[in-house]
Amino acid sequence: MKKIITSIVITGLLISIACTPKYPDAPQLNITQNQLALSKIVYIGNSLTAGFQSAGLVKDFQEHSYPYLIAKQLGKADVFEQPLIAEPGISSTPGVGALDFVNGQIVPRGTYTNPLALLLNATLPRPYDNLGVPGADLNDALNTVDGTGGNPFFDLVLRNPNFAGMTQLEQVVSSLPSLVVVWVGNNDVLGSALAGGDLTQITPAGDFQTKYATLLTELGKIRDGNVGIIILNIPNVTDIPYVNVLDNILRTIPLLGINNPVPVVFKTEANAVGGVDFVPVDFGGFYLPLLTDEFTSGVSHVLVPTLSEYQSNGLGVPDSAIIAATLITQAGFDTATAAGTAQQLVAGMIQAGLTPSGNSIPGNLTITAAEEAAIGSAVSGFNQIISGIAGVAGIPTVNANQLLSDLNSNGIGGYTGKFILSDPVNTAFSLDGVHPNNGGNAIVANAIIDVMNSFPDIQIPKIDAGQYKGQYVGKPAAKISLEAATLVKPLFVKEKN
Amino acid sequence: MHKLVTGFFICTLSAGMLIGGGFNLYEFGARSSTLGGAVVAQAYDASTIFYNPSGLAFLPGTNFYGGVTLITSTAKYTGAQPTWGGAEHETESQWFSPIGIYLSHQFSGRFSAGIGVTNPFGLGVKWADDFPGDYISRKSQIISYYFSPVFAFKITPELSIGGGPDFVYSSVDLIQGLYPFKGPGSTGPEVGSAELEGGSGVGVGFSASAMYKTERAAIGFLYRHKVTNKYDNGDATFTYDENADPNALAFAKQNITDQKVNTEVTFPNFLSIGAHYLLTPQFGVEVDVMWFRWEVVNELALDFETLPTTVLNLDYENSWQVRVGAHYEATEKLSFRAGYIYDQTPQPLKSMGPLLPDAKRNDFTAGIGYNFGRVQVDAGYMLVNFLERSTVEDGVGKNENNFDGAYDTDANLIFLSLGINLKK
Repeated sequence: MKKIITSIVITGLLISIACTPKYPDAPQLNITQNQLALSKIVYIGNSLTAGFQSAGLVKDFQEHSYPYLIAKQLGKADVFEQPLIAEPGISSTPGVGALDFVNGQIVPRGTYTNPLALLLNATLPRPYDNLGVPGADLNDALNTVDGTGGNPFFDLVLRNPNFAGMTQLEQVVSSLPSLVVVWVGNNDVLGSALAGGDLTQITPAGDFQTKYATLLTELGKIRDGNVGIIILNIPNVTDIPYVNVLDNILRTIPLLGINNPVPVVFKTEANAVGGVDFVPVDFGGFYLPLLTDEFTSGVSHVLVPTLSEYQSNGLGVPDSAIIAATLITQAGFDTATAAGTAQQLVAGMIQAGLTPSGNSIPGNLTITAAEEAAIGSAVSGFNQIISGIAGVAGIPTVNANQLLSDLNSNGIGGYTGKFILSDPVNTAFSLDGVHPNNGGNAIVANAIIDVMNSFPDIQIPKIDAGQYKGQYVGKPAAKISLEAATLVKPLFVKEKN
Repeated sequence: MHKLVTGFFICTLSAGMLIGGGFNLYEFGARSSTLGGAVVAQAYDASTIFYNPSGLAFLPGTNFYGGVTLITSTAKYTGAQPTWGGAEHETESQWFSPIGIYLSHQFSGRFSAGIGVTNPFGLGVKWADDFPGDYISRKSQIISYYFSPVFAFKITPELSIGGGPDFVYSSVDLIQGLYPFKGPGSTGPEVGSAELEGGSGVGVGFSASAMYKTERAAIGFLYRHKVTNKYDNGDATFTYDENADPNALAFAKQNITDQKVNTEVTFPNFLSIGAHYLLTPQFGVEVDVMWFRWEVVNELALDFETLPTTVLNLDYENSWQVRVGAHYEATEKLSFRAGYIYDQTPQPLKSMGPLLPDAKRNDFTAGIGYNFGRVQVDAGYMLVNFLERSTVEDGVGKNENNFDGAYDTDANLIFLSLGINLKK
């Protein structure tokens, strides 16, 4: 019997060794490598990527960020994670929320005390999929880990020290994405425009080249190089309503010997469709130049924050003494005629609702032709660097610069690049005049989807951007409140030394 | 012989392996197992304590029956294209040894009692450290111990009823790769491993059964109630790989620390009904049908002290088994047996994965028994042939954790049991 049992055991063991399964054939999923690249998309960028609108970051704006809109088109909105901010949102001004459009006026939504307390999904145990940090420039993307430099958004998005001091780039890399969408570099030149042409705020081209190459090299190592990358280039930062809102008030004044267009005294009047026209005031055949510190350099643009102080306090509106002196020195008036004419002009301005203050618009609220040229040159230089690096690496690029140009020239899908006060129905920009609104984000998302769809096996449905029109439907646009302008101004305008 | 028997009981306390559908085990006696487990209408030895306690009423005297099942299995996985690149991985070789030990006594012509120790539910699946699906499971091991005192009462010479409580203890050992940034669409980097270990409190269930037996024919019925085992204060320990992505590693070390974890596991109710018939005095056959209420096994929720709760969705569905067994008593001492089992998996495709790659199975058994008088020795073998199963249907991946691929599994079981009639 022992033998029988022993032989059974041995037989069983032999059968056990012999009876092993074979490897099945690999099942084939109906998905291609390109489609697979859409499985985990992470976005790195700045306020444009974060979904920052109307001078602030807040949940209802973030849920219209272009990354979120793309996630919706992919059917993945419910798992797409952003650092959602509760009401009233967070602006760059401590304690003040985002802007709102109420009764035709642009006003702040409210105030808060602790920005970190507004972060709704602070405990997500992985980096956010949207790693856009408002205010971040290229260097920040590589090196900044928290808000100790004064930008609280780094604390909100990167959540250090809890995330082991990881930068934006490191959080992207450690997320192991299948696709990274990169839109950085705007703030390497935007700050200059928003500060009224402070050229010292432009990142040197060599520095930009090195850091952009580093960024893409590090991203390219993800999944041992098996990662997709899409780049957006940099739109010309002087083509935004914040900068060009008052371009219509530039006039030549031959009578005063001014043969290059300069900003002149203007009225704000609501037009038939609810927008506000900024119409130069014709004083019987000539215009009065606005007082600008950069007058002699040739002012090309007067920035948005000027508006409220112009409307409320007559910033830039000349008083009678200045008008008289100008008439004498520039138009050859005699003293008495000049004084009389000046008084008439001042009376006319007061009647038109203006306040002749005699206070000059500071240089940080105007951009000169030379400054604009330098900024434009920087943008095109950066874009050359970007297209050069992308070209070598074969990285598809969204031409955001062309997109903004198209928006301003012919509009896109009925949207325009005008400021809310000029075109509240069709504008693709938010109340701050810098960042796209819901419709603008849909336009950006569609441009990225176009690039994705350029791969033959990807067919993502485009967004009906028209559905977002009417974001500012309300009472006719009237003005940007002084309160709102005060909020916008420190967001972007740095005092010039 | 004596040495071999001693050997059985040294290894009895490391039981567990996936054999029956889901994580059910049903092999707790060599004779019964080689009949494909189709024994609910038979009371041949004291293993009837497990298969049908009412059968004790037909088992005279005092009996010991005990044995072990040696189990080894291999699962092979081929990853789906293109997500897992057709990569091939297999489970590491492990031996398991669930036990069935019984003692019975007939107190009178009508009343009998006994006690049994079995491991009716368990699983053990272990993949290599580099297995890409270890974000779901690298090792899963559950072992249950049912301590079952039972009673049987003969109502008429042909009809008996029986049953008793089940006192159930179990242990769990789960190892996962540690992926701190795991989320939809990406696992993020692996920085080490997480191990969860714990022993449960005692859960209580019961069995109820009946048998009607004539000279040539018999029918039997068994119901065993579900049991929930709670694991309080299990240990979650984390091991780090210093060569991992440094940032994710630093994050993990900063935020993930050893801690306590609570969970619970439910072992399902099941029902068995069958009929045995002696075609000749030497040759008998039995057919049983079993039904498992697997719907009570819907998730494995790991409730950590500080980390977010992790839920592994199982969503099992109730399932059937058909068992057929035949025995031929060649002489008064020597018996030959064979059996077949069709086993429907309770596991939906969405939860089919590395934790337990289940599938429909066809099991084939064969064995012999030899009676030395008071001593009975039984032995046999079973091949458990899982049907190849893929998580991909019509090109669509069904695994809810996106770990799609195809699995093929075989298991081999060797049965050895010893019965002693202590008192006639």
